[in-house]
Amino acid sequence: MGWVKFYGVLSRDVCLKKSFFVLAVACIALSGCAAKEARKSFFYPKPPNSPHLQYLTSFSIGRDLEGERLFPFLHANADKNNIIVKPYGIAVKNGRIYVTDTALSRLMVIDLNEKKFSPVDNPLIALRLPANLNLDEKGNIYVADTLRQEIVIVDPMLQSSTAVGNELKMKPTDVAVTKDRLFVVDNDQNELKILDRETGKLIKAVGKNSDPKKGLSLPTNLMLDEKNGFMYITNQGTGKVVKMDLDGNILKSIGGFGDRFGLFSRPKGVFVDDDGYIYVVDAGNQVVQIFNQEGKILMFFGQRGSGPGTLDLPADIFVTREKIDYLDQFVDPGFVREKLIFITNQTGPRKVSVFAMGHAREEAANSLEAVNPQESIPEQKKIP
Amino acid sequence: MKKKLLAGICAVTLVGSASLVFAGRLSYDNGGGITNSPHNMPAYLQAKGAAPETSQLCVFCHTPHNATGSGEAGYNPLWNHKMDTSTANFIPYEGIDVNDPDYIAGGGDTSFNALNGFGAGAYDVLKGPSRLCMSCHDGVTAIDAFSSGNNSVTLSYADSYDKKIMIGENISDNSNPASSNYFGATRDLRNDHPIGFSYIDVADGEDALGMAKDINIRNYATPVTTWLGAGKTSVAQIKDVLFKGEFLTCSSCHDVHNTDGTKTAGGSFAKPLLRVTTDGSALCLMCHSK
Ligand code: HEC
Ligand code: HEC
Ligand code: HEC
Ligand code: HEC
Repeated sequence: MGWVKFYGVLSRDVCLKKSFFVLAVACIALSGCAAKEARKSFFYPKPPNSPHLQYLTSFSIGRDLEGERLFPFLHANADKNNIIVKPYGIAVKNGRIYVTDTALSRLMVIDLNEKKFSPVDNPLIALRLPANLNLDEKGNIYVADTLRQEIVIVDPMLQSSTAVGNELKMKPTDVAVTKDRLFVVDNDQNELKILDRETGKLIKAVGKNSDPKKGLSLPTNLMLDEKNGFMYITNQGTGKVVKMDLDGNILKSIGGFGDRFGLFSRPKGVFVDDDGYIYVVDAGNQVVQIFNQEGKILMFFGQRGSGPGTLDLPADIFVTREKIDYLDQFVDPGFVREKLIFITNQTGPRKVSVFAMGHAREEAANSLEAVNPQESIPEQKKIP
Repeated sequence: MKKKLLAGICAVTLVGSASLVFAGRLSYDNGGGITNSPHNMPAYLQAKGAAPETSQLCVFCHTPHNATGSGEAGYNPLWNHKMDTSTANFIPYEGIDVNDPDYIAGGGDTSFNALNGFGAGAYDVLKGPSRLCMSCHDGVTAIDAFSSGNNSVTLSYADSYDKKIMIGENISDNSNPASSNYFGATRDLRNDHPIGFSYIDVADGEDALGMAKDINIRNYATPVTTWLGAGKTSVAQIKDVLFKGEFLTCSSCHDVHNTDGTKTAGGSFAKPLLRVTTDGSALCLMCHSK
């Protein structure tokens, strides 16, 4: 990786010297509890509402997970390469976060159990502009690569890859996998293409309609609810999220352009969890809104800025009930974690943000010292 | 320095032939307004076989501001019921203000900042309208013409990823790792331009980007009418293309309203949506004095 040297952390290491010593001393003296004491918990929605969500942590570089090095030079090469520059798609399985990086044209695997960043620099998995990704039941990774114009399938061991769909001349931005089908968003053709999983052959294409009330409009992200036979797709052309049946008929649509609750300016990532809650990431408003199946908004979270709990050009979202031990340390003792929410930010200092959804512990409900970052942000003039 | 600027232009020119996938569908007239530009989203959608829901051009960038009284009852979040809904519009696009303590350096999360290498100089690269541009130009919806990283100077992680947003990423020869244009191999980004920093600080001789400074930057009050041609009044001085009269953004070089194109010196086209033609380096010479 010749180019890696240009990301020299040299000057960074120099400027970190001071803080390095401070941190080292803190670690030895207080062994970990220092961090806990200093930490304030960020909850949404804003108090006095009862909290439903807590910001936990974020990952951008290997050391976010591995901690500051006692002897940085021993890790210099790995540290330079263990970075996420411009993430887009995200999926989580067995404590591993899989993220595409469009700027570095590669996959990054963050293993929260092993506390390790593993960039996939294998030349046999040469991605070019990887957008969204999804995993199948065996752990194969399906990546929608908009420049290669095909779905790249990476084996679970990250050793090799195959690809399907090239002859369809798509601009694939998202892909979902079922037992025998691939569902692919073709952003360029305003279509959802259903391929045979084995052969990659097109079975049918749905969603194209010259009536914007009936079809897709610059679709980017897809959530397939296979069990119930629904698809949820975000549309940049209408500012809406549509719920479709698998034949491409629109059953419901949420949103439209605007800056109020329930409206979007750049809806991208979409996820539906096992409670049927619909999460929609908005890269224009820097928020995620959560809806119920009736399309009623339950809450929103995130905001512009760089502090804890902020989002910066957020792209994709993944929600899971998986228990990941590493993240427990960030959960406020007064809060009960039910689900974990992972979000990619295309820019800013927090490339992958992690939130917990849940509820306040009964006995602690009143004593939670909730701080909401929203309060510190002054009102700003918008472009007229 | 002259050499460097020229190199920049060459590399930038290569981008024009970028990838077929992203090639603009619409031919347009320079200076023909938004209607006659790639940002006519209704036309763009039609060209892709999806009829637009609205014929309005402006909503795609100027998100309609919904009066608080107009919100449907159903829009009020069920779990935020105790919220003061009168002040509850989202605030799109605007970057973080210069004096806003929220951006990185003043974020108060000192161990996080130290670990990530963010020092006192960190700022919001996408200040002003740039975040709006990048919400579409993300490489997925529209061409992603920027990246981060720079091989001409040694930068820290925070510097290279968060102080510099690059433009005109050359991905024209990404298929061949041996090529010097290969995105991943050499990251040849001579064509990239930093944004989001204070032009005034730089022109005053401050080292705003933390890099060796060998560039002569004109005073921000320098009149630019000579480059823009007669009849051009909205931009009289360099500071008129700077966000809040100070910050360099995508809009410093690009006029997305596509208003002034044909008036550029010599009448040549200033595509893609540039304020000034690149002929004879006119665009670059607007701010760089050599
Ligand atoms: C310093 C001036 C400058 C700034 C700042 C700038 N650009 Fe550009 N941009 C250019 C020039 C010059 C070209 C022309 C490249 C060419 O014609 O080969 C260009 C080309 C482009 C293109 C078309 C690329 C193509 O292949 O067709 C896009 C899209 C673009 N810029 C977006 C942006 C965005 C978004 C930003 C802010 C993040 C930005 N630019 C900031 C000067 C600038
Ligand atoms: C591609 C995005 C985009 C579209 C489409 C767009 N604008 Fe803008 N507009 C901007 C940006 C960015 C600014 C601020 C910076 C600038 O002036 O370039 C702005 C600023 C303005 C301003 C403030 C005055 C000025 O020139 O600085 C007005 C008025 C305006 N726009 C009107 C419109 C109208 C009317 C339309 C629809 C016909 C429209 N815009 C469509 C991006 C857009
Ligand atoms: C609503 C989405 C959207 C926004 C916001 C947006 N663009 Fe674009 N832009 C597009 C699309 C779509 C194209 C057509 C090219 C393509 O397919 O990628 C385009 C094309 C361009 C081009 C290439 C023009 C050419 O001659 O080929 C430039 C330059 C550009 N945009 C600059 C900007 C700048 C600067 C901003 C911010 C002020 C901006 N855009 C905001 C969607 C957007
Ligand atoms: C709106 C004013 C403006 C325009 C137009 C402009 N520049 Fe710049 N440019 C600047 C400023 C300010 C800096 C920062 C200089 C510094 O910090 O030393 C800069 C920095 C640069 C750098 C150094 C960046 C680095 O990473 O080393 C290069 C190269 C450059 N410009 C090339 C160009 C080229 C080529 C063009 C024409 C396509 C151009 N500029 C147009 C204002 C401008």
